Amino acid sequence: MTNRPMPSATTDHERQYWQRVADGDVCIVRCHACGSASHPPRRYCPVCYSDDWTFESITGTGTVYGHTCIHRPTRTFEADAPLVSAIVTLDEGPRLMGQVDCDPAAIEVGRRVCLDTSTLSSDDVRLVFELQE
Amino acid sequence: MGAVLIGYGETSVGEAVGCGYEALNMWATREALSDTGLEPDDIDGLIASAPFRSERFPLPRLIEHLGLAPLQFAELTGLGGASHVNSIKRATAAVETGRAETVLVVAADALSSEVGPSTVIESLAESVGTFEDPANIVPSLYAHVANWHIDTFGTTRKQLAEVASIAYEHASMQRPDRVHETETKSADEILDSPMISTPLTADQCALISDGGAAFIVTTEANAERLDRESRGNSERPPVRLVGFGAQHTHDHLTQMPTFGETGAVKAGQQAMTEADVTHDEIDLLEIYDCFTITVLRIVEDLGFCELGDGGSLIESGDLRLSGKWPLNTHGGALAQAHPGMPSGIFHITETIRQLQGRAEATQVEDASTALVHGNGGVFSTQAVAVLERGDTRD
Repeated sequence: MTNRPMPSATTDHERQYWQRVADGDVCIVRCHACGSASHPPRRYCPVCYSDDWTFESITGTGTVYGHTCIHRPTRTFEADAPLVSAIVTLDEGPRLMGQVDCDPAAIEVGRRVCLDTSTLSSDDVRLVFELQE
Repeated sequence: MGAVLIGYGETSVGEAVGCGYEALNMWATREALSDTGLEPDDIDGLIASAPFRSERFPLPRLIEHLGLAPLQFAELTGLGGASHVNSIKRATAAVETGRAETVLVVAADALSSEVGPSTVIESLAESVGTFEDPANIVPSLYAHVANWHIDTFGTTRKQLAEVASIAYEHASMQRPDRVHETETKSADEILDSPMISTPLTADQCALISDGGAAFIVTTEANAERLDRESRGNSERPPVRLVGFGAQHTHDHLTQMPTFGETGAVKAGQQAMTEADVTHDEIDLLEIYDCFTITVLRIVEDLGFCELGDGGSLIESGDLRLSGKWPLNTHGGALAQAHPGMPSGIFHITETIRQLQGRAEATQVEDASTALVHGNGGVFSTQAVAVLERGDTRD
């Protein structure tokens, strides 16, 4: 599969986010002022505008909300087609989009998935989920 | 002072119309001026659409090109496929508040020949941003919602494809220079086109076209004067905006609150309440159709059927020309034309044609009330307008 190197970020919170992903620690944002969980990271909490928030590691488990098998991905990922993409509702609440390493016919809304953090590195920050039984 | 839409203009559309961005905007403007009997000097307001290619100051450049200076009101749109329905409200408000007397709304681009399909697809994918999977192109984003619908409600791929089949049929009935696609296609043929991202095949994705259109909003007094002076006996009632609603909900698809409710629910309720019309009183539907799933979800959220029943409504025939709510009678972005940001404007010029009784082979009999919808981003912006033939409530 084609690697996705860390995106070049221009803000501190985005740099920190991608460094954590590269380290295998995928995070959401937890606001300490209002308690909300959000993604993607922003300088201020999108609910209450507080800057009193920290990154919170996710467990990596969640449920498929939407999915598709991409036959014509962007040019960079052409060699990987067809590849399965899913929107996953994390058990923590926010949704992430990632690839799913599975038979395209096996995935459906409601299937449980788990993030495979073993593939993450600064050379490859693709989020790859696996189907659970 | 009440504001009305009095006429429109369209360029030819297709893969290589032979004009760039500026010339296509001039072409659409020239047709709209000719249609309404106005001169360039009569225009004192402009709402335009920026070119797909990057440009530092697109609006002054276009104003100079169109020869419309000086203007006292000029704005650029920025809501993708929802831009132009939103512009109906902005233009009528500008006229009603006296910021301008006569506003030209124009949108045209050479998406096919000047930008090119691969650049369009790649740069739209980049605009999705770094926090969603970079393998995803825009069709694959909508495809996530399509499979959600299939898995949740048992909607079939053939029902989705039927949306495109209706579009191709209505496009095939137009004058050939008005449409990018001229042949009908069955749902099975739509399904046989190359798979882009399951369940969406190529024919279920918007075209990439050159072309554009324009329409003109002015005071009722001007409309009456023009009718007397330049149109003589031609019966061409003005078109009135009687209801409008818009909702802006998210950017990233992952941040959409729920696939089960787009902003079209509230935008539609706002528009229909303001217009004081029921669904049965709507004579035709112009629904933004960047993908087949867009139409299927939006007819549900606008209340033409229950959530989950979109597939059955599409299958029922109610959305064909002979049905209860003829859909996208010009062929839409799926079959008529999709020049990028300008694409939603054809849904409006078609509505004007219909309400003025000028829609030729696809004329809906006695069309007096139409609903026109725009969708921007990935279900991000929803705009809904109810338009009426101007003599309906006299």
